[in-house]
Amino acid sequence: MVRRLPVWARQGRFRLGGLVWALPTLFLLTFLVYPLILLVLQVAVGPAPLSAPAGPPGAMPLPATSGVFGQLAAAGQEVTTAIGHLARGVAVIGQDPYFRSLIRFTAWQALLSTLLSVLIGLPIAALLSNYTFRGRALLRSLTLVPFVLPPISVALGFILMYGNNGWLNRFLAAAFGVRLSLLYSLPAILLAHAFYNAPVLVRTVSAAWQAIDPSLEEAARSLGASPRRVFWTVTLPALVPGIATGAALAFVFSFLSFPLVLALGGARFATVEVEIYTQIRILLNYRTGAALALVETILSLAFSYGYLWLEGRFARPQVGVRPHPLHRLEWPRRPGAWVSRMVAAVTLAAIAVFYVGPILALVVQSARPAAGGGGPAVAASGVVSGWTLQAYRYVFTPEYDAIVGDSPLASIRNSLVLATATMLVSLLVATPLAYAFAGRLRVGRGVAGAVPAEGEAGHLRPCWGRQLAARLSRWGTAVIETAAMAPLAISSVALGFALLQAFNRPPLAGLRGAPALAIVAAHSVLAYPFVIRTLRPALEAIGPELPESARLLGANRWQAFRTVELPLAATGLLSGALLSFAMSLSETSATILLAGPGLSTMPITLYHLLSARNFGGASAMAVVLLAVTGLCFVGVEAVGQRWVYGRNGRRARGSAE
Amino acid sequence: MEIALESLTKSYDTVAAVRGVTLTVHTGELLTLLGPSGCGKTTILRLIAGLERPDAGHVRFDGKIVDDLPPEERGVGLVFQNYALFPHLTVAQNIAYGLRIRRRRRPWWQRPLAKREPGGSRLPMTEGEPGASQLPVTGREPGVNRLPVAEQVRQLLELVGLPGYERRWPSELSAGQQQRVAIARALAPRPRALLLDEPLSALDARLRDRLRLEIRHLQQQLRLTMVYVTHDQTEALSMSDRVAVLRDGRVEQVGTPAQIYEQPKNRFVATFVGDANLIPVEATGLGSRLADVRQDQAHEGAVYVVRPERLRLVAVESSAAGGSTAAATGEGETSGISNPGVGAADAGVRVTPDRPLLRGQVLASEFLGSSTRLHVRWQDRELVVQLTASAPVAEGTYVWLTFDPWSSVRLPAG
Repeated sequence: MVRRLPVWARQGRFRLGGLVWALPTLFLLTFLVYPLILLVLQVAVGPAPLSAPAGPPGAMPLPATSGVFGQLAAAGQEVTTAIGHLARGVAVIGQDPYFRSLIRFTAWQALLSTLLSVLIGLPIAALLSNYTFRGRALLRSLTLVPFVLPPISVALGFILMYGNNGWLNRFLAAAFGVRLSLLYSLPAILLAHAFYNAPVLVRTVSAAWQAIDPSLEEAARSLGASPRRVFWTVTLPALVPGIATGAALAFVFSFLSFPLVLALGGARFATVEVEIYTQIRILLNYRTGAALALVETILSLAFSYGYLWLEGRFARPQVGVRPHPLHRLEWPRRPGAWVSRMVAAVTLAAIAVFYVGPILALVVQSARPAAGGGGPAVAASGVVSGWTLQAYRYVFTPEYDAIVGDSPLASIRNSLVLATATMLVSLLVATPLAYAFAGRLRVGRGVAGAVPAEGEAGHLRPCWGRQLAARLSRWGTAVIETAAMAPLAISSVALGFALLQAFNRPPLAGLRGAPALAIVAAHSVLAYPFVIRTLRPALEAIGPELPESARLLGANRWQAFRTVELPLAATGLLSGALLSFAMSLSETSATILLAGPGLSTMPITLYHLLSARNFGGASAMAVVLLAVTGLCFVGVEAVGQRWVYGRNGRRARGSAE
Repeated sequence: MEIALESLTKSYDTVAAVRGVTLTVHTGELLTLLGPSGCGKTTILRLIAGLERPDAGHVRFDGKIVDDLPPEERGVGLVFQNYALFPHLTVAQNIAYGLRIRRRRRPWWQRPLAKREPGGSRLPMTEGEPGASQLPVTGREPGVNRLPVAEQVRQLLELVGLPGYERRWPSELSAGQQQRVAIARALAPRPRALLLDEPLSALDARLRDRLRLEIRHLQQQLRLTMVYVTHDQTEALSMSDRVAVLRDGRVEQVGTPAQIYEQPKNRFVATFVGDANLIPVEATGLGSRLADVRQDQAHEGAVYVVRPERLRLVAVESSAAGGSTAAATGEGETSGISNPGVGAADAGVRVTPDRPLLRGQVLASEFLGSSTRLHVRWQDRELVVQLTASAPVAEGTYVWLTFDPWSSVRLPAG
């Protein structure tokens, strides 16, 4: 029997395809795996097990024994002690009552936030997926909130809205003569998380709602079920996947939330993320921070795996579903319906105030610094009352500012440059991965998807070796996919810290512009899973026979990708690009750890201004940030709409030519 | 181009799709792969196209093994079941795709500095091969087509009967039109062979019949080597030069449509291609009498394959003949053979002693316009009879049937 040579050898040429793979592999090894290993080493290797605050960071002691065997033995001993240290380090976190209560509180607030998000999100989703009404588009765009608004500016909005001297309190004081102390408490954190995560629920639930084939509900009605019964027995069960995935996502986000808690939790309420930050940045307690980050990374990986599992379990191909019918929303006209009318009106008004209030407060504050609930700091600074563009002038000054540690204008420029770099890197990393995960690699060599239909043609004799191989390859694929999607829910503070370690060591420390590089790396690691998530469905929607046709018409694999798959997935690619751009713009947690002196980004500047109680400048910066990310997301939404329209409306580029 | 498959085998994970298929498609021939879904016919097509690699065996084009050629270098066209038109390109751009991509094959640093002839495209076919000179767009030089791409597109659209459709989008076309564009696109780079994967299955019946004729016409006009995959036996019989019947990844029989229909090699072929009544030899009562004539075949379990139109009603009139036959067949009934209620248009055939006589009850009668189908219960099985007469037969009536055993295929047991 002739020995089988590898494909490229048989075809007598080297394939450039391998290079495409080298990039994501190299990137992930350098900026994800290596820093995480360092994080583990930080805990594991050291003079003494983690108990008391450890010495200065860095500097792993190297075994100085001579001779190969001596070194090996020393290395072996080193490894055993390291594992012991690691176990003890984790155990310390597990046993310390303070850390335990910290983790418990983090999980507890995440759970409460999730519940609150579900409570707020479900009615909005119901409204959006069943009714047309004036302002529906506005309400729909609310679902973009978690992506558009950088958390630090939401925190600012909340302070301005609910602060001791905020709008709510001034209204209450004027109307009822009472004041509420909302800020720096658990409810403030919960409200802020709900503000963020209810839209996530709205997204997933209304997607699930619109995917329900209306003929199911019609069938139930025709079988004699009342509308209420139809809802409980047909509609709600179909919504469970949407609710479950949305809630899981909300939980993960709330668990890992950092800037909101940092700004709104005050001194008393800290989550794991905030504690890691405090340990590293303020107490300079690197080993404790590392151990905590390690524990949190393990937890968050478990959560993200759970989320992906949920999502995969509920994933169903949606083929030829009739669009969900939308009814006109009418006020109940029945006599005595005023109760429900009041309830509806109050609910809508509350939602509007809840969402519009903080944003409005931000905008007003930026243009009228004396008007807002800035508190004594603003009042004392003697800013002229009335409308003014002073805050914007301040934000756009190119002069060095001591508070910011950079000029505010430079931070805007930095943000845009870093975001562009992040976008490019995450596209280069995500595209090959998305291509592989969408099962496109086998197109043209093996089959992508076409097999099972044809597959019944007689099973081979059951051979456990072959079955095992098939199963192993499936598992292998699943493991790689999960691993590549892991940063979806990695703690950004932990990642930032790990990268900080990596960039403090020789191979990476010597690089020019290392802090900027580190920030781009962190942002790209955080963003590329989202690019995969937008790109992969777009690629999967392209039938394998399209690139196959291209191949048969004379295109090689690269040409087929460039001329067929890429144009057809272009919208997915574009929205992925914008998404990564916006994520980089608003990322605070990792950046705040990595940005050294003299390098600031918009959210960091915002945070510094906020710390200095310069609410006017902070608001102006928040409005600028909001405008840029907002533009990105209007773009994403438009592209998404066009993509859907292009596929269903069947005129992919008809108007363009 | 002659395509030869040599003991081709392909399996996916744990499922064997093609198991040792040996088959030759002659130059300029239309060969149909016919079989139920899941028999591996699409996989064979993909193996020929180079979209799959065989686990064992070889594909030869004109004697040369092409196993290692990627699909883009094989020079065969494939029309997919769902046409696979590129939705982001117009009709003209779709058809021109193969012409343009060929031209772009060389990287820019290898291209000559002089401006290239517009539309000059390398052709995968050699001069003198059937098909090459027959395509409407042919250049002078071997292998080079000097016509501009736009002109070639125009001619191809004319060829498939869609002149003037250049600027349409695929989504604006009906299924039948998309089908034609897909064929034009596959033909554009002058393939050495054209493979079609159930190209008509998504169309309605009337359109299917017309396109069937058109594809056959095109194939003969261009003298294309064509492999056509279908599960529809009418399609296979009506348009093919030869048919290969497949089951479970194996070739059951290869032959002309007439051979497949009239002389099926086994029960699967007999029942899959057309309707067949399998009538046990013993049950006809002819076994012993025919034994001396056909000694080579055992009667145990052997069956006659009788097509519905070969199963005839027995003529009504002759009571003498009827009586003698009834006696000859050993049946107790002497009341004579008559088929009451059967119209005179199909007068039936006379019964001779060497013909079997079957008495059954009509279960259902289907009027099909040009013919009438009877479902007759005979013993414990159901026979299908096709009458050219359009007269209805009432359900429940008993009829006498006969057929010619000498022209019927006899299959052994099993």
